[in-house]
Amino acid sequence: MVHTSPRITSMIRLRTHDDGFWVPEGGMDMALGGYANRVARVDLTSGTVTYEEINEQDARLYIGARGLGVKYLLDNGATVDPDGPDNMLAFMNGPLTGSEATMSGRMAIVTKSPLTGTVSDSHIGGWSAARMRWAGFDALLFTGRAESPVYAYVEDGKVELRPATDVWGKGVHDTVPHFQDRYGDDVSVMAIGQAGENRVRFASIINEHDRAAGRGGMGAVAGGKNLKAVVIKASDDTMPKVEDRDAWRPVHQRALGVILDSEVTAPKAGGLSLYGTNVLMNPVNALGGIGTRNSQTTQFDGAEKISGETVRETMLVGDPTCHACPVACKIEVEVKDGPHAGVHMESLEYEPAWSLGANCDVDDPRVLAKLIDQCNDYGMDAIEIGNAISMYMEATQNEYVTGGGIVWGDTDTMVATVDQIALREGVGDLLADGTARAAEQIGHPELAMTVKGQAVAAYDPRAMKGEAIGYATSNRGACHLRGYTPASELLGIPVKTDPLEWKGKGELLKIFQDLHSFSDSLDLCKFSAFAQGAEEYASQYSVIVGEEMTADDVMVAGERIYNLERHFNNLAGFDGKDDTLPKRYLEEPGTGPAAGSVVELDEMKAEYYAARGWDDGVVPESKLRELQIVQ
Amino acid sequence: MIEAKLYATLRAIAGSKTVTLERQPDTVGAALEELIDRFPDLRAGLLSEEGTVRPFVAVMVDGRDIRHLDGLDTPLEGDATLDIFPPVAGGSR
Repeated sequence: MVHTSPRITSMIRLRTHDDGFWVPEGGMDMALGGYANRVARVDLTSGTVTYEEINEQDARLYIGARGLGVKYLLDNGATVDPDGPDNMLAFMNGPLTGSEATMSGRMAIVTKSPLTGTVSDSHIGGWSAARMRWAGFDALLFTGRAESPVYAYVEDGKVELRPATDVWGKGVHDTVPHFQDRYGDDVSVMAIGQAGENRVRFASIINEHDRAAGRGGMGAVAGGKNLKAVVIKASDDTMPKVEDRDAWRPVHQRALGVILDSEVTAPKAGGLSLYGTNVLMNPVNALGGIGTRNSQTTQFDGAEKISGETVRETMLVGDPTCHACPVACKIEVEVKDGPHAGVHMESLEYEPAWSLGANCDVDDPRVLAKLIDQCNDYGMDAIEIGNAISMYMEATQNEYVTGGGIVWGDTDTMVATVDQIALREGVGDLLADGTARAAEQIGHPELAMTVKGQAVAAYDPRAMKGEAIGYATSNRGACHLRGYTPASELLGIPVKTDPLEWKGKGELLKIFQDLHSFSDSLDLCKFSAFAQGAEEYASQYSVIVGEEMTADDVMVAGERIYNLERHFNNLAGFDGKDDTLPKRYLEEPGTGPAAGSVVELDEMKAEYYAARGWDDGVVPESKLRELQIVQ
Repeated sequence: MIEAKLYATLRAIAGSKTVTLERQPDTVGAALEELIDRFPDLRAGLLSEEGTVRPFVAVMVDGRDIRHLDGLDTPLEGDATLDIFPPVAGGSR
């Protein structure tokens, strides 16, 4: 049962240093615990920084991080030009970020995507989010465009804009140590590389060398604003503690205990902890869900060679973790031989191993480490770039391109092409606008495995029907993480469903989307959902924020946030016609165990919209009122 | 001969990625019985105390999870592919 406690006694408070450490203005007066109650609005055009408190009603409705970030974006205007200075780039913490809660080292970066034109959020772990909380902030909201490159320096409740001309043009791997040398080890750096500077539409913001706010082109928005980095200096001396230890202890023990006991997440024992996310390569391939050669087939002969098992056996050198996480799913690898010997990076994850591997017919994990390392240094989404290159490879196969093109498995050319994309040189300039735009330019849009302009991830929708409706209806373009239905179709969480069966998947997807919308707003790592559920989310929120929340309340809040995003997209011009899939998935059957299977899109959309209460992809006024999005 | 393919933590227990099943089992249940006879430490990872496949363990025959077939009674043909996964999950970025 949810354990609640009196509001005031359960408030998280910043501990005050003996020497009078800064205490966030207004934080002690806010009725809700958990929040620093401090937001910085940074106008890069004028160079001014203003501070404000959190709107309590918005915090109750939209929680924080993803949800509250989308609210700020909506208030900023759904029709702003994503490429222009009016677009907002919001770095958002939730009420649990940086706290003692397990897996709470997460923040959302929220913007209107220059890749999709939708609202988009991308999350990062590591330590930046926690440090932002420890430095006294819930949110940093950037608008405008600086006249020359700047970075934002954040410390003790203040934000200063400082010149970044000396790091402009540098990759992330040079930018991060530049600031660490200058400010010490207790800084976190979120930076763009050359890709963001050059407005590559899928440029990422990279956190601490290799952890990406990967999707949606966050880095392109930062680059357009001349914002090179956000540098945060803070230590866990100022980590918020729950004052009511009696209330917190059993809630925390329960939430941590299920993570420690889960056969998926158990530290040093569960598959996720031992092998990282790439432990999925073999099982998804076994069921015929690995799109190969731009999803022309759905099983990859080289899956074992690039799997988490092989990487652990041949390349693993470390397993770093994030703030307050015992799982440590990161896989730090080093290439020990071959032309890329010496590449040392963190982390070789499943999605880019698929996009740059199977989808481009590459079965050498050493090359994958090199390619992903390049993406991290330049600051680019390794999922999108793998799809863009595989699309170009199929165009080459079909003789749709002039010149040499790129043939399947040509890793040397792939390495060179990644450079070209980041620097917008040669064919790279074409691919830098994303898979969909590039395919359109080539004259063959059917080669783009994209939804709303963003490329698909590592689960072929013909083999996993939950992902089919998930990709099609995702509010940020094709995405596996809006509603992680593979938990059900592969594992059986919360129930085992047949991956080839479409019926019921629309309803299942809604549950996952709503649950994740809430955890993304707390902000807890999505992998918590492999062991925790709405009960654990509710009980932690209740104690830390100090307002009772039930598991049912969690699902309603998640539904509200998901509908808020959809409402934003509706205002930006999206409707049901945009909830679709590439023709390949509808007409060309999968192979292997997915042989004969195509996606029953119309039936699934009808079921999903009915579950959502939407009219052809549009949130009706009645639903907006029901969820208190409008009054 | 049917080969059982083992993944992730199961490999360390069996000391191999694949195990050739020598008794020519005609069901998944018989195949697991042989595997556990030869590698007793696999039992705890695969089966519950009641002898059913543990939750989150994926046993696939030709890419289909036996939870959607006939469970341990799922027949094994001579050229069947048998994949056995401990609980695994992920999904980055």
